[in-house]
Amino acid sequence: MPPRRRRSATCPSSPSSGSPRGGSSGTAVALPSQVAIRRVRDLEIDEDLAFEGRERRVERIGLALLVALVIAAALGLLGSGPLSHTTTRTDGLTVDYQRFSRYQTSETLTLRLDAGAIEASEVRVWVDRGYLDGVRLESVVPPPVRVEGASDRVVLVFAVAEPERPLSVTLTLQPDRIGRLHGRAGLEDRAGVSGVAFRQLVFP
Amino acid sequence: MESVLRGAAVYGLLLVIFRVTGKRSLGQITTFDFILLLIISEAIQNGMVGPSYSVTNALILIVTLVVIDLGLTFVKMRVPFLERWLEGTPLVIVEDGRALQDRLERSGVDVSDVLRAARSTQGLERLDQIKYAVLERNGDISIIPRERGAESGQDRAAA
Repeated sequence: MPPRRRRSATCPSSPSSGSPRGGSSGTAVALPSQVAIRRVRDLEIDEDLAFEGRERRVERIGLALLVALVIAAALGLLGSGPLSHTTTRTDGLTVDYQRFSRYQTSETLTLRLDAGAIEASEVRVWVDRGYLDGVRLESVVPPPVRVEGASDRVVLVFAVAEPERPLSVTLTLQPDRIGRLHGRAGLEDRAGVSGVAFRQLVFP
Repeated sequence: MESVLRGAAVYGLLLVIFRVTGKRSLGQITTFDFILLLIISEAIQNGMVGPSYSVTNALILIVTLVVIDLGLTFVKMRVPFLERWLEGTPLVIVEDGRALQDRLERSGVDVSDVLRAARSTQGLERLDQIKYAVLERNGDISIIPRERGAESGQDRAAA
């Protein structure tokens, strides 16, 4: 509790206590110490109805914002939720991810490979290096048989049990950076395809 | 650095939330309010402490919170404007035994709250024994009883 203003100081001359009721009519009394204390009838009190009204308006706006925040959070605008989950696709590859995610909170990113994209017993998926620098990868299911590094991308090589059937790969990760995260992923064997881009906003 | 930011963010957020919800939000501690307070502290803990288990982190957080609090106290003493916005102003809600209805409604207090405060702090029995009731900045209701021997409203009416 902060120290209260010196209210113990005595009031030299008390104005008539017969003023009409209500705080706004209080008169400020200057004390020798230059501390002005409002006087409302018999009370030395820093009541201020004008301020009270302003305060109430701000409180009301603030409450509305709090309610809006709860609704936004429930819808997923502040992290995982229906409005956050989204899908983007390119030739042969679909990426399911969260548009809004939270700092150091686990989430999943799913790479779904179309049946037509898998021809051999191995399939090579790349994810750009910049994105992986911004997240902490916790697990990849199914685990890749091999991980190959390149200058700007990491290539995950998966063994395929059933060629010509769709395959989905789930990455569990935690964003490690607050703010915007840009990612890109693609199928290695497709020539001329620059992959699919996805963007996430990471809340603190 | 992160601990300081986390501490400051939590301090600011809690300040805003509790200020916005009004003086009376947790001023009157019922059993459930008490439980709510415990849950809030539990909920804020992870966000504030973060992934670190070190004593240094805890120390930094505690010092950050205390320093912000002291700093604000210092600033509030010098800037009355800020003090008002951070702490609000008291409000007279009962005057000469009459409840000021519009003010009661505005501040979310009812007559029974005033009477409860009158009973527990002054041992008063009726509203007309109260000279002033003031809703203080911290949500408490202070009661100033009428002076003993002072005529009550009914007596004056009868005279």
